[in-house]
Amino acid sequence: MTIWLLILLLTLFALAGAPLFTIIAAIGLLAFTAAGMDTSALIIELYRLVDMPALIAVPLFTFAGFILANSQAPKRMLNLAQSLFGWMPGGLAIVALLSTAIFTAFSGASGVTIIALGGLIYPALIQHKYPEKFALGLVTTSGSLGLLFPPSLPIILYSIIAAVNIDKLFMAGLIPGILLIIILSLYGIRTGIVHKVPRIPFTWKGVYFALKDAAWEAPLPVVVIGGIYGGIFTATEAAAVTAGYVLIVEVFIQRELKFFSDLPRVIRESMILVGAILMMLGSALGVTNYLIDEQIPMKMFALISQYVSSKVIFLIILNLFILIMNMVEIFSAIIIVVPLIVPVAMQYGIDPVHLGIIFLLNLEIGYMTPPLGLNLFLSSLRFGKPLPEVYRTVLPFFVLLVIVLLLITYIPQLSLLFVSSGGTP
Amino acid sequence: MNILRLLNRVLTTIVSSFLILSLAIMLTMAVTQVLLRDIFHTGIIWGDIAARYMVMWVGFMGAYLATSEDRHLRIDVFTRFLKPGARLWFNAFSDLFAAVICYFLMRAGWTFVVLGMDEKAILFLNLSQKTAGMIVPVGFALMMIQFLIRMIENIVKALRHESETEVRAS
Repeated sequence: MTIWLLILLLTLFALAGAPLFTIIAAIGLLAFTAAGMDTSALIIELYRLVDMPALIAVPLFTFAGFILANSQAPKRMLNLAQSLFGWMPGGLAIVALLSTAIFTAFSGASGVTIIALGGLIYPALIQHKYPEKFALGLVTTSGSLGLLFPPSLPIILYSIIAAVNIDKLFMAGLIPGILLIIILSLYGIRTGIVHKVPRIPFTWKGVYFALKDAAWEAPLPVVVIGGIYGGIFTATEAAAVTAGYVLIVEVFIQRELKFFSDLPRVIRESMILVGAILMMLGSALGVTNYLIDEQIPMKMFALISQYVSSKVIFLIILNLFILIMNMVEIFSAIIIVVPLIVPVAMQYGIDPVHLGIIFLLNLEIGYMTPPLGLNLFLSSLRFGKPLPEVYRTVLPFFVLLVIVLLLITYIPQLSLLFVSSGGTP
Repeated sequence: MNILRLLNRVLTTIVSSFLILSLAIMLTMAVTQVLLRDIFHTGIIWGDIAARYMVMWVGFMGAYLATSEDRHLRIDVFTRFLKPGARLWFNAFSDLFAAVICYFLMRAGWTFVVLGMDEKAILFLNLSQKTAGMIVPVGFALMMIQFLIRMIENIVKALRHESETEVRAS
C-alpha cells in the first residue's frame, strides 16, 4: 500500500517537471533504506562511473559535435554533398539525407540538426520546387537520421548501459543505417520525378571548389567512421582524436570560433548536456543494481512469458513500448529501460547487439512520432508551422521508417552480419 | 534577493572556470595518450585513470550548470501547457523536491567518501582517493544550493506575476 502511494507520489513529481535524475535517485534512496542498507550504497554504484573506460567518449564526442554545430562546417558539408549528388533525380533530397545523417552522428542527436542544418536545407528544397509538405517532412525526419552511425551519443550510451562492446554495436548499425538512407532516398527520387523537380547539372569544377572549401572537415567522417569500422582505433581513441582535431580546425585554422569568447560558451553548453546525462546515468546505476539483485527482470520475464511465448510477438510489443517511452524523453529512455529489457530479451533469445539496433532505431522514430516527438516541436518552432501540419507532413516518412524497423527487427542478419558474436565486451 | 543573486553569480563563475579548465586538461591528456600509444607505443600509466576521474568532475560541474540553467532532463510535456503563473508554482515545487533529494545524496556521498575511503590510498601522483572523491558530496551540495536559489526565484516571480495580473484585472 505504502509502495503504491510512493510510486504515485514520485510519478506526480516527475510529471510536475522535477529533474528525472532526482526521481530515480529518490527511488534508489527509498529502496536501499527499505532494504535496511545505508544510502551510501547508492553512491558506491554511482562511483562505478569512474570504472567505465568508454565513458570518456561521451564528453569528448559531445564537445566535438557542439564545436562543429557552432562553426560553418555544416554549410560546407552541405555544399560538398550538393556538388556530388545534386545532379541525380531527387538529388537535393538525397543531399539533405546524407548531410543530416553525418551531422547527427557527430552532434549527438540532441536536436541540433534541425536548428543548424534544417534552416539551410528547408529553404533550398522549396527553392528547387520540391513540394512544401515533402520538404517539411523530410527536414523533420532527418533531424534524427544518422543515430545508427558512429560516433552518435545514443549508441555509446546504449553500449555503456547494456555492457555491449561499443565497436560491435557500431558495426551492427552500418547496414541498418544505410538501408534507412537508401529507402528514404528512393522516396526522395520518386518525389523528384513525380513533381518534375529541375536537376542541378554536375560539374567537376563545382566538386573541386566544394572539396577545397571543406578540405579540413571532409576527411573527418571518413577517418572516424572508417577508422572505427576498419578496427584501426577504438571508439574512445576516435573520440579524443576527433575532439582535438575539430578544436584545432575550427578555432585555429578556419577561425570561426573565437578562442576567448566562443570556446568557453561551447564548452559550457556541451558539458551541461554531459552533466545532465551523467547524473541520470549515475543515479540509474544504483537503482538498476537493486532491481537486478531483486531479480526484477527475471520476474518480468516470468510474467510476460505467461502471455507471450513467441519471440516475434515479444518484439512487436517491445517496439510499441519503446516508441512510447522515447516520446517522453530520449536519453532517459535508454538509461532507464535498457537495463530492464536486456535480460528479458536475452531470455527470448534476442542478441543484445541486435536489440541495441532495434532500440536505437525505435529511438530515431520516437523523435518524430506524433504527438510528442521532439523533432516535431523543433520543426514547428524553427519553420513557424503549426504542429498539426508538421504531424501530417511526417506521416509518409513515419510509415517508411516503421517498415525499415520491421525489416531490421525480424531479419537479425541485417544487424549481425559483420558482428562475430554479441554479448559481453 | 541581491545577496542570493550575488552568491549565484559567484558560484556559477567559479564552477564554469573550473569546468573549462578541467575539460582542457582532460582533452589534452586524452589526445596525448592516443598519440603516445599509436605513434611511440608508450603511454602515461596514470593517464587513463586521471581522464576517467576528470569525466566525473566535469560531469558534476556540468550538472551544476544544468541546474542553474534549468537544463536537466525532465518531462515537460505537461507543464508546457500550463499558464505561466501556475507553471512557476509547479517549478518551485519540483525545485524543492530536487533540493531535498540532493541533500540526501550529499549526505550519502559524505558517508561514502569521508567515512568510507582511506586517506592514504593514492590514486596517482600525490592525489588521494579521498580528494578525488570529494566531488560527489561537494557536487550534490552545490546542486542543492542551486535548486534552493531557483525555488526562491520562482516563488518571487510567481508572487509578482499574481500581483501584476491582479492589477491588470482591477
